[in-house]
Amino acid sequence: MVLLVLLLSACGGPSASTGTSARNGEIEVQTAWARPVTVGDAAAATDAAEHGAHSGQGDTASGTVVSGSTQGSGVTGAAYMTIVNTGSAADQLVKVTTEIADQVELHTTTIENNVAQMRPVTVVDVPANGQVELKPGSYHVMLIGVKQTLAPGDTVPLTLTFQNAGEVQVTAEVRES
Amino acid sequence: MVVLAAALLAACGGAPSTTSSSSTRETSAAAPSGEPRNVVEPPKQLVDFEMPSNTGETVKLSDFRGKPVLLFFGYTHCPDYCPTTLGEFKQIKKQLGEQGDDVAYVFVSVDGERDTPEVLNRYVTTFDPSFVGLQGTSANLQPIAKDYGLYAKKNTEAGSAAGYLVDHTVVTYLIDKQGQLRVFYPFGVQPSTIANDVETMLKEEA
Repeated sequence: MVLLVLLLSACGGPSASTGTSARNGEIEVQTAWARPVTVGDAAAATDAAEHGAHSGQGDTASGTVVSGSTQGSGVTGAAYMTIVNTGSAADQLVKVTTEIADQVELHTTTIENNVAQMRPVTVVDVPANGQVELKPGSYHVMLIGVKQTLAPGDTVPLTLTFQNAGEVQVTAEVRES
Repeated sequence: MVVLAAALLAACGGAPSTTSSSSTRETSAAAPSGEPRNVVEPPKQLVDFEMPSNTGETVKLSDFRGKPVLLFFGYTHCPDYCPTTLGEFKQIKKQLGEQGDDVAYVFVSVDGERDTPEVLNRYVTTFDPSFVGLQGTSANLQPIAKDYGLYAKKNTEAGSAAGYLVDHTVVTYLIDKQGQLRVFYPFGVQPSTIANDVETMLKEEA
């Protein structure tokens, strides 16, 4: 089932709206999902300390190299969805927020010569009478500094802000990648 | 600064010309024969390496002798290709059934600065408790980069709150029981195709 959904979402065709969907006027968000993330105590503590120095990890018996800092970014995750625009005017996804992560960014990924590059983007265009898919290997909602473990079956509340349509509340279901 | 540059995979040598489209995910159903899997002929004996692992112990590539190894380079802040690939490793293991336990699934971080054994342990075990996470650093990756055509470069200018991003090679390597590189797969090859190759390799003598 998970495989099937993955295949569907990777095929670029219209996604079956099996999960939650949310709409605001002419914008409808379908099949929002997020990847599982495991957040450890140390990461949670680091987040709580607002990017404080990461210390006290010298408990590995073998004396392996442990770097001194986690660079303050914590654990990352990703959310995906299909955004459908039934209106005759193009729109743009300009912002996403969630209470379960410190920061949220819109990213895109590309592969060239077998090398993957991920880059932040400022907006995701949603064409008039069309749709855009946020999917693996393309656009995604990047969750930075995830505050809690996300296990399959959990849900992630996301607030999407569109240039024209305004805010859309979306619930992303956590499922196996 | 983690900067490893090496010839890209084309330089791995002996890669046969492949046909069909690059986007194999468009095709559904059972593994089509035209997938761009790259057979390394003759097999290439890989230089051994030694890296801290997610369990805190040091692991060598040669520790896996006698088992086929599926290996992928990535980093835990990578939310897209890396979890997709590890999810595919999980599917491969499932397809192999009991034999899936006779294969090593190895995730080598190219971001050892942030991916400590502890961080790696949380990450790889999210997928499967048997998966191995290794802490690659410029010191331990440099000597093996050429073997894998590995490219990994820190990008601090992208302007992400994630601190920095890492551009990196997204290829799955299939290594045989003798530590020889036999096949590599670009991102997007069907897991079933890889599983079939692993299944064949499992029948080879150790």
